[in-house]
Amino acid sequence: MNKYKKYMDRCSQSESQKQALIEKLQKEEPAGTVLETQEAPAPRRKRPMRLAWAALIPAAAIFAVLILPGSPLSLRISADHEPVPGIQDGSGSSSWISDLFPGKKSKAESTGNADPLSPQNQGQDIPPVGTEAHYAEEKQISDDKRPPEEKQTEPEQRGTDRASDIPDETYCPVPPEERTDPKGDVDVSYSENVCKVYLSGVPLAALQDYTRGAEAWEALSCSVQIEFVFEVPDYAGPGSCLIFGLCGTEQCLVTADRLNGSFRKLPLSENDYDIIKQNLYQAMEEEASKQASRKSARADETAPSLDAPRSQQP
Amino acid sequence: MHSAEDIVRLYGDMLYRAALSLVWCPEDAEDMVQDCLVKWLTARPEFDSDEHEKAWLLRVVMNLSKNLLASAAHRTRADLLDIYPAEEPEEAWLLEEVAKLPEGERSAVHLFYYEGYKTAEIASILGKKESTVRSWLHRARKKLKKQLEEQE
Repeated sequence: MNKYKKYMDRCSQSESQKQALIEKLQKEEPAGTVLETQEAPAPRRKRPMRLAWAALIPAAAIFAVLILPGSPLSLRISADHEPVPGIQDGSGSSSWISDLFPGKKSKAESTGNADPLSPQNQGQDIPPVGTEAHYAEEKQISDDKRPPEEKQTEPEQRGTDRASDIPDETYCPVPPEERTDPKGDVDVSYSENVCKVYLSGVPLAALQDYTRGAEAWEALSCSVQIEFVFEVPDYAGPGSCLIFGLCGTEQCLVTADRLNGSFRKLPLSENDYDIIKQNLYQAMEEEASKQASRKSARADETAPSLDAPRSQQP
Repeated sequence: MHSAEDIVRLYGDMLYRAALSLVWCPEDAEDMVQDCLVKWLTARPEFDSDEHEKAWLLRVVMNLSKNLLASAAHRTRADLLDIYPAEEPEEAWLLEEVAKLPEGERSAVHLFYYEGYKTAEIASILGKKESTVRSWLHRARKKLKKQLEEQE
């Protein structure tokens, strides 16, 4: 390997290249916060886009989908007709969304629709989450709640209409010219515990055995360094996932949405990232233990008593 | 805190070589270094030490290079030996063989043999388990040894 070392020693950028790089960086340095000032970065050499990131959706919307009726977890809960404190019984304050985003209200809470099972909401048709009707209704509700001047001034922007409770700076700073419609470009397939993500037919990642656990996920070759994948099959059909990982240098949450053929990322602060991840783990654990205890309770009720006192037997 | 010029002078070549070890193309490696330094400039992270800063930069440049490898924008790697010709046939042979290794093994080989990092440090830089890094190095050595034996 000394030969490799010797060879690499000879590979270096020339002084003029370094000087040019320094100048480029110094030009950007005073801006320092290019992304905060909403200025697009200086155009560099044109190259095809690696991933056609969709217009970004806020974490609140993603997790609202998880907690609202129709999402996989709440479906499982409601199937047993047992309201869970803080989620479906209307006690509200300890709902998931508040836990996940301290200080933020869930969409349901903010629109006054916190408990879809409450008497005043009975008899209304609630479209399933993930359907166009659901999103249309959600948008209608939030539009109705806003003052008229806000309705007039807000530009139409696909994918961001449910972002009212997240400040603008949390959006992923993708320059406007790089935003393209990802439809048809990204696809996700799911079968036998493997979630595959494709970009224009080329496999980007195979996410294996993502039931739970903190094991590092084996990504074959992916733009996202995956740490954790959370399956949401009922959100937008089989193969839909929430992926926690590293996009370049920043921790982010990615949703792979088979229904819309889209792939979205949301950068998160380290703190939010950890809180969300821990809450998901915890919720999954709690849900699993609840289901296990219900199963064992049912088994106890139905199983014939083998140890009845002999005196009671005929 | 280092200025942009300090960073280029201190770490420019190291980052360039790390990117080169993965993308195997000087133009792409230059782009990766620039992208990495723009990330540094934008994020301006605080580091405990110079070593921490170096490891952060290495991790970023390697992640960016891996992303590039996964994209259609990656150019061919044929021109590396044209830009930096090998001095002897054995050197050219070794580089060709290293270039054939999968990206994980190549990055582990570079960080271990060129940068002199320990496997635990490499694991931390690449965000992998130490056992994975050890196994990459073992497989890479085995493949190179086999190729060497076949050549002889």
